Amino acid sequence: MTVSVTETPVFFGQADEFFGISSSGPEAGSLGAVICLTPSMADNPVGSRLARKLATAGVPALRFDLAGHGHSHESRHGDAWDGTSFQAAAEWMREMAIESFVLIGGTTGANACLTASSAMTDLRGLVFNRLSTKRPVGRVSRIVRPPRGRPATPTVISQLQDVIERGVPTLVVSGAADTDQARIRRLFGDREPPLDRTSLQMATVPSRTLKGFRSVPAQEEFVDVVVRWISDLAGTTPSDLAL
Amino acid sequence: MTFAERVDPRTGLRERFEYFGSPPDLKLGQLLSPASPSRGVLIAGPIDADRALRPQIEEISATLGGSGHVVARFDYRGQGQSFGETGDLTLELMAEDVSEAIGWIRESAAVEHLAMLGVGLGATAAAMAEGASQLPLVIWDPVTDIDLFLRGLARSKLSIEMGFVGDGASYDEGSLADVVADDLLNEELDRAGFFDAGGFPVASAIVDSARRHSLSDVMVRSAETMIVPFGPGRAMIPDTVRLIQESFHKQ
Repeated sequence: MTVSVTETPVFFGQADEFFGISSSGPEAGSLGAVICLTPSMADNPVGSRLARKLATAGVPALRFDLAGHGHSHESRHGDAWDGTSFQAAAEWMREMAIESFVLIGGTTGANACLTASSAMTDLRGLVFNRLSTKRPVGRVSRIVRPPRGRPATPTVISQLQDVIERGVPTLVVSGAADTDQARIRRLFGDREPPLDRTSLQMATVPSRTLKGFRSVPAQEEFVDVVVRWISDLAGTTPSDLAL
Repeated sequence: MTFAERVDPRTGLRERFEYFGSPPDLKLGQLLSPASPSRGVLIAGPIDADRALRPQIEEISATLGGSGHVVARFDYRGQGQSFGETGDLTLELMAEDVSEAIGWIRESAAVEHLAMLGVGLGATAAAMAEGASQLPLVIWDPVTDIDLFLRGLARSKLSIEMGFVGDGASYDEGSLADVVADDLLNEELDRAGFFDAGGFPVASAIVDSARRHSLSDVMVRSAETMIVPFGPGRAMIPDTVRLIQESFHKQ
């Protein structure tokens, strides 16, 4: 990667509790990308690759660590799928005069991204990598259970349905072995009357194994698919990229 | 260079991230600083694929920071959040990065006394780095044989892919698992030019360079070197911190 990309480490959030790195190229457009691929930037090499390719394509990007992961501090909300991290990242992008953006979330980050999207009106798109359709069970479920008095958390499917009905362009990328992908396809593809799926796209890329998860999309293919999709949204062409 | 800085409310330590070095291979560094630092410790960590000791390195950093040391860590070129191609990284370039990082911590933290902690392949890189030859070096979990090191990574990968419990760390040399691990390793290196260790590539370039520079060959330093005795990861933290603190008295 030639360095036409400039990167700056940043802390953001009310108490600087989040850590991220912003990437921008020489010809930054008005569409930005907010990226959170768990478990953390240090543990997931895909985020930097994706951010730099997007920046090269004219899409400034902020990649960051989800609350309680990597160099970001614990969330006060105690919910692994809480959207606070993404909302804080989006706020930082607005302060940087990025007018609209795409949220990109992976694994826990995908669900946090979906939760955050419900409160955002300036979204241009959503990208989910390994979106889980079911909340985790066991120890984690105790963490994510909402406190008494708070309304029950909407299901992932109803959240997705809301996004689709709002017409937010959405890309769901999964490894070929991901069972959640099949479930989403079944729910949104077989429904009668069928939902308007024009805003929802599925992309299946080859699977590889990462830390025992066989359904993780292969890195190169994942980055390529996402960069092409966002370049289409931004009206730029990725043809000058070394894809 | 632009940097990001905050004070961690949990530890009171100032935390600073910035890129250093010269383009195109800018490195991301992290400085942990107490209010009145007197000494500095540069950690030359392992490569990304060698992640077993990462939590312990975090803990050592916090412990040293809490006892008045500036602690600097960084990603080698092509690793972590640093720029550069992973496939180009060699031990020689890692050693260059260590020397650059010494300049960076001296400039950013303005500490007079500096020691180094080398972990994994970072121990060899620190021993090779010209800029580090006058600094005391504490070595922890070094890679003394690159082929054994790679075999360990391959065994871990096999264990995970085949659904075995554990991380493949138990070692029974010459076993069938070793044979299979070596086959996997060599097949991937031949086919792809790198071995994929849980998403983190170990490229042929660094393997070849590590075969040329064993730790024992490069240990011709003028300054004191101490080796943390072998033991389970977490139990080594007090020994490591103690040896680093003692190293300052030997300068």
